[in-house]
Amino acid sequence: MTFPAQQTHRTALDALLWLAVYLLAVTVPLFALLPGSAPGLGFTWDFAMALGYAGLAMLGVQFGLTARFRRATAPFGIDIVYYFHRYLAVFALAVIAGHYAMLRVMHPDVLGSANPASAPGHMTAGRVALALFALVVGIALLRKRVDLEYDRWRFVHAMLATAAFGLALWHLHGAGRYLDTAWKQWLWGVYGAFWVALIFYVRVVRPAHATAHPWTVTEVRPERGQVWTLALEPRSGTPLRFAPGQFAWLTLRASPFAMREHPFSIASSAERGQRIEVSIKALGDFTSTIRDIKAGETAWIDAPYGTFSIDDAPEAAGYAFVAGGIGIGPIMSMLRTLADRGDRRPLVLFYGNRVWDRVAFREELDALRTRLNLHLVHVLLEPAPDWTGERGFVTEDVLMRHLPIERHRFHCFLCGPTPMTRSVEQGLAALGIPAAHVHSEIFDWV
Amino acid sequence: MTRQSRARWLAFATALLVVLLAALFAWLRNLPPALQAGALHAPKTSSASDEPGRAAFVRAGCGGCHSAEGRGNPAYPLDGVGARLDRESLRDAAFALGGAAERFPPAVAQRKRAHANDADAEALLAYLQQLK
Repeated sequence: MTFPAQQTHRTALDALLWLAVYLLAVTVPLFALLPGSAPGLGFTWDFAMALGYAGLAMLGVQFGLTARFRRATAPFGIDIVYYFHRYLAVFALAVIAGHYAMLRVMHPDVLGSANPASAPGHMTAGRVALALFALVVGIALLRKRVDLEYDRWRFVHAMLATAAFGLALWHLHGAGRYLDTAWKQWLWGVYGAFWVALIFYVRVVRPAHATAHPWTVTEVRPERGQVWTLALEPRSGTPLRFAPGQFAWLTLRASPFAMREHPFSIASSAERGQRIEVSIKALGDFTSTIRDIKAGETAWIDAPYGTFSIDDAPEAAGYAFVAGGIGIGPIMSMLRTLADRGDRRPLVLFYGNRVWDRVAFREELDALRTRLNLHLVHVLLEPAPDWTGERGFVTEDVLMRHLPIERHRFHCFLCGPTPMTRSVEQGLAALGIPAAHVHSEIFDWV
Repeated sequence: MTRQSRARWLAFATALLVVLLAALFAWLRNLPPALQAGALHAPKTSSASDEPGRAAFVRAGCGGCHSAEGRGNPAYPLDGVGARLDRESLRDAAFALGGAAERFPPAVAQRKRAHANDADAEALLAYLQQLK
């Protein structure tokens, strides 16, 4: 699967604020247990217990991280939030394993029998929760290596994680000795219920809202290079308001409740929200089926998301775009929008592809030059013998040859395979473009 | 630094902070000299004579909620219980029998009663009795 995501360093202050919110969400319910508690029972004992409480809270927040709340994801970019979710899961697993391991080593009698027939239910629940959580993390990390289908994995992932969280709550209420007063039990009861309600909101309330707002596929159009463009129109007639470069979660041939939505950049102009287009390259399980979609079919859209947009840097003297293959999608949206707005600022597009015949939107980009102040640089990896343009990769040399002298006042937007993005970022830095002016989109973050 | 490795470091730093805050919590709880902390580090005092009783204690899962002689859950230490209760009161408390049953939450009482007829129930009581 391919596609989009986001951009970097928005306001650092916002990012710090949300990190603080994370730490508070995890630790405030724990520290609330301090007042009026019985005397401590030794540092290692209380530390092991605190790891258990904090680990459970980290598990809860995991659901919040992927709930796609726009305000919380905007300062980082949603790709970063998903990566954060992924890495944090590993660390949360370590915290919970630490809780278990400390007890196993220092207080083995507390754990008692591991046999579910004789052990108290809440202790078995804790053990199973730990095992399930390890399974969830293991499958997620190995998913691409073992070629597990995305939709199926996502369903199993959500179910196992929810089950593990429920069992962990049971364990807490059976074994949590800090919950020794009614209000502490109430606090942690409400805290657990909050995350359960969040799961309900994401899996039931939000799909119900999407179901009530269907879209129609009005055109399926082949482009060069195995790319298919779908045009979609809202049945309600209400245009989608979005910034050029943002993306949408798209559900086709499945109910919004089925958790089968996939993120794709919107490629059409933000000035034409009554008919949006997504351009999809046939690469994975889902994308290869796009060509079979027929005009008239129903689609559901959850949008817009993302901060990879020229509208986040409106003050730029000009824009440079670097696209690799289907990474052109969000950049097409920005170019088409700039054309619709009559924007005459200088633009440079570096567009890397393997061969000339498969350069998606080649003809339209040519035509856009009449409406935009656009310098178009095609870079081909396998050019024909008579090719006179740039060849190979988008290197620092290629960037230097085509970027104008006032390039440090430009904002740059990069979307393509990770190695390309990484090397272009280094090239731009070497050419003196401030890091805050470089916006990149990770291609393959789910 | 790529966006991906930035996310990794962010997650690592966040998790580290959570662990440090958990340690702070444990430290704060133990600021005044912990009354029972010593029990955690008390040397094992079991002698050959109470090994069967100690084994019964472990087998019945008493350690999940109670500690004795420095082992098990320190939240509810049983050291000294032999001096406070006679054999019959001990039996009632250990297996949630008689009037003692009402002192426990139903789930706990049920777990205790399940061991009342264990073959080593008497060994367990003898062991508790000598915790003075």
